[in-house]
Order: sequence, then structure tokens, then C-alpha cells
Amino acid sequence: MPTANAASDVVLGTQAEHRDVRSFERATPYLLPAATAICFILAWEAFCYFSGVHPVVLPPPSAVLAKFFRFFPLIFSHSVPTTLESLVAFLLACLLGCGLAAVVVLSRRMREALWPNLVFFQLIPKIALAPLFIVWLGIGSESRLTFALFVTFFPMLIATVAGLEHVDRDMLRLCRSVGATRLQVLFSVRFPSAVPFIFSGMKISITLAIIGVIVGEFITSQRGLGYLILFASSRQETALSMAAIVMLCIVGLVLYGAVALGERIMKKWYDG
Amino acid sequence: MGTTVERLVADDPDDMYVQCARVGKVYATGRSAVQAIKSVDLGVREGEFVSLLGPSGCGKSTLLMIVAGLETATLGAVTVAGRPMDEPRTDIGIMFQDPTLLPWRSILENVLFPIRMMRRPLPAYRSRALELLEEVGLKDFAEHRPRHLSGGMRQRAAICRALVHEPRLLLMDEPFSALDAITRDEMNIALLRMWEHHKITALFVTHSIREAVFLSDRVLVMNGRPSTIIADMRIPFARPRQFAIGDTPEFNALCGALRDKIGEAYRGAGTEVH
Repeated sequence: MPTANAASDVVLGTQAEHRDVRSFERATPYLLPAATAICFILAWEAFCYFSGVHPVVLPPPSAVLAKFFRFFPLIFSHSVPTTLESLVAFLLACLLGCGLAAVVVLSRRMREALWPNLVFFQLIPKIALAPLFIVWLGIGSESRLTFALFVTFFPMLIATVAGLEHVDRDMLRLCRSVGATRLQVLFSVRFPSAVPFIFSGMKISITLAIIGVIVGEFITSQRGLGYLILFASSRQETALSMAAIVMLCIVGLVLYGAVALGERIMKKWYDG
Repeated sequence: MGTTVERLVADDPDDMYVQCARVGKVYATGRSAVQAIKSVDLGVREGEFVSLLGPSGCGKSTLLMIVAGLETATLGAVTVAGRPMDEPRTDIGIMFQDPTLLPWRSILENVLFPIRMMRRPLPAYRSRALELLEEVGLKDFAEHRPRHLSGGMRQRAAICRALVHEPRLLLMDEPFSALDAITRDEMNIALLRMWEHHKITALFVTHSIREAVFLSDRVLVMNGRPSTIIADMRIPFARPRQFAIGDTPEFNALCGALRDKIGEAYRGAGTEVH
């Protein structure tokens, strides 16, 4: 039956085409941003090459990349304290955020006493407090960590409170009807169901932690990527400064990626 | 309807497993107060299946929560098994409209959840939980997460959870109203089987007339604003009930009589009952 075969060939042909379209569709979320970035970098390179702009004002990407590889050991050694301090600030923010959220959710009185003050405190631009932290805590990592912590913990707190309160009203009734204590409800029901919310908060907090530490390093440090960026630009080494920023992006990606990975693992546990 | 007896007051109060005496509820909202329940007298005998039937917002769920000890009555008193009900008690099992299972726990762990909250030994109840799951046909799903189960299966797991700590009274707040009609019929059969097997007392809140008639020994109609119980109708069908009784003229006559009762109190008020 030649006609039937021809017809099925046509159908198969279209299916194959469909498959191609689909795999292309699936790749675009990765291809398009990469292509956009490459176009931007090429345009930047071309601009530097043709406009004759001074490399101290705007070094071409190729020069930044060259600096990055040439000074990699230096840049890497400065990235270590930045990464560690960001991580510590983030972890402290998680503890403080979750702890305060638990207190606020457990006790109405504590909530009434604390919540407006926490919001008010959040309204102060943290950067304005940085000089005070130096007065109180010196120029060591304590003052940078405290500063970064204050920048970081609020989104954690907000997200965790939202998560802890997200629990279904009937679930809470069930808990009460079987005589569960408030702490049991907190740890067996509220915290586990808050996990997706907590991770949303963590994703914001980890980026803020890096910002906090970098700003702290701008103000006080002798080490770290923030210090290196400031130091290099004060010596008119704009390419090195930008190479340090490249490293900072890598650090940010790794830390954010770690949180995102954690989220995936927890999601698997959560949904089964 | 010669076979149905209508009374507004329950007979001998001492006989009753659940006893509400002039129970009323007023919600204070800011400066105004809303009277949700005017005054309710009701009694449920031990082992009886009683439905509270009424339109949405008639206070029947509030009344159920008061019987559960989860809300306090502003008037009157509730006793269950002869003891006043003023706080939650573990001789009661509860089901809600949604199964409210914990998504990060297996079905078996969800069924054992009340045991864990009561700090009773889990291993001692494990076999009971598995038996309950087997009764509702979920034994093979004990280790599955709720996400992998259909709505009806989840609600069956919720029945098991409500019964795992061997309560004597099962309170249900429109437990099947979120399910499709076919699943709902299955759930009614499954519920009756559980109720007969475990010989518990059941108080069931619904806004479905047919569901109330199919399940119950007695249907109490709640209506009005503020609401009271406006009818108390005995359902005479033999147990165990077959689904075919839904097609008999007697069944439909009972449904019609109940619909009339609700309509009488609410004529022209635009309240929907189905």
C-alpha cells in the first residue's frame, strides 16, 4: 500500500521535525543567555579596540581575563576569607532568622514585643551602622561578620515566619485535638512545612551575605576580594580590579549554587 | 412519611454519648458581635451515626468544633461520654474537608502522626495502623508519599489517621465535599464499613442531603441566622447499607422531606442546598 506508506512517512517526518523543535526549545534557556553574554563581551572588546578608550578607564575583557589567569594565586588567596566570612555570616543569619521566627510564632507576647522593632530596625540603612561596628568591635572579622549578619538576617526572618505560619488551619486543629504541645507542633509540623519558604529566604540571604562582607572589606579589611578590588583600583589597576570581580562572581555562583542544590535535595525529601 | 419520626428535642439525655445542652456561640469581632449558633440541644447515642445537615455558613462546623473541644461555647455545655468537653480529648478522632496529610511523611507515618503527638509508643500501634490501611485498601501504599495518591485515597488515609488511637467518637467536618461525585460514593461506603467494624459513634457534618440520608441513623437539620436545629429525622434503612437504596422511592422521599425542612426555614433567603 504505497499511499499508506507515503502517508505514514509524512507523519514520521513531521514527528522527527517535532522532536528537533522540542530539543531546540529545551536548549534555549541555556543558549540564549550564553549567546547574549558572549555578544555583550564581544561588543565590549570591539568598543575598547576601536574607540581607543584608556585601559585604566575601561580595560577590554581580554585584558581582564589575562590578569585573572596571571594573578590567579593572588586573587584566589583573597577570595578565601571573603568566601568563609560570607558563609559564616549566612549561617549565623539562618540561625538568628529561624530562631527569632520560632520565638515570634510561638509566643504572641514576644511577637507583639519584637516585631515592630525588628521592622523598624530593618528600615535603618545598615551601611550607616558600619562605622559604629568598627568603634564597638574593631577592624577585625567580628565587625565585618556582624555587619554582614545584620544585612542578611532579615529576609531569613521574614521568609521563615511566613513559612511557619503557612500551616493549614485544620492541621493545627488536628494537632491540638491529639494533645500536641506547641514545641511538638513547631518541630514536627511548622518547621518541616516551612522548608520551601526557608530556602527562598536562604537564596536571598546568601547573596546579601556576600554583599555585606564585601562592603565590610571595603571599610576595614586588609584581606579579601573587597580589599583587593579597592586596592587595585586605587593603583589604577582597573583590569585587576575587574579580575577580582570575576572571582567574586564565581564565589557568588558557587555559594548560591550550593544553596540551590540544598533546596533541590530538601525538595526531594519534602515531596518524596 | 410514616416511618420517620420528627422531634426537636432529643429523648432521654442520660442515654446520650454526646450531649449538647443549649449550646450557643457568639463571635466578638471588634465592636460588633456575631451570633453564630443561637441555642442547640442535641444528643447522639453510643454507636449511632448522626449527620448535621445544613447550608454553608449555618454554624454546623462551628458546632462540631465545639463538640471536639477545639472551640469554646459561649453558652451551654457539651458532654462526651458523661464528661464535660472543655478542651481537646484523645478519645475523639477528627476528619476535615482536606486530608491535611504531611507531604514529607509516608502514608503510614501520617496515620501514626496522632500517636507520635500523644507520645505513645509507635511500634505498639504500627500493626493497628497497617490493619486500618488494609481495611481501606491502602496497604500497598503505606510507604508512599501522599503526593502519589489520589484525593479519595488521601481521604481514606485520613480516616485511618482519625481512628488510629482508638477513639470512641469520630467527628467529621464535610470530609468528602472536595471529592468528585463518584469518589464520594466510594468514600461513603468505605466510611460506613469502618464505622460498622470499629463500632464507634459518628457525628458527620455535610451540606449534601443524599449523603446525610445514605450514611445516617438520624439527620439533624441546622439552619437560620443565628442557627438552631430545626429538624431531627430518623433514617430507617437497614444496615449494612447498599448503595442501591439511593434509587428507592423511600430514599428520595426522605431527601425531599429534608429539603422541604431546609426550605421552610430559609424560604427566599437565596441559600443553596444540593
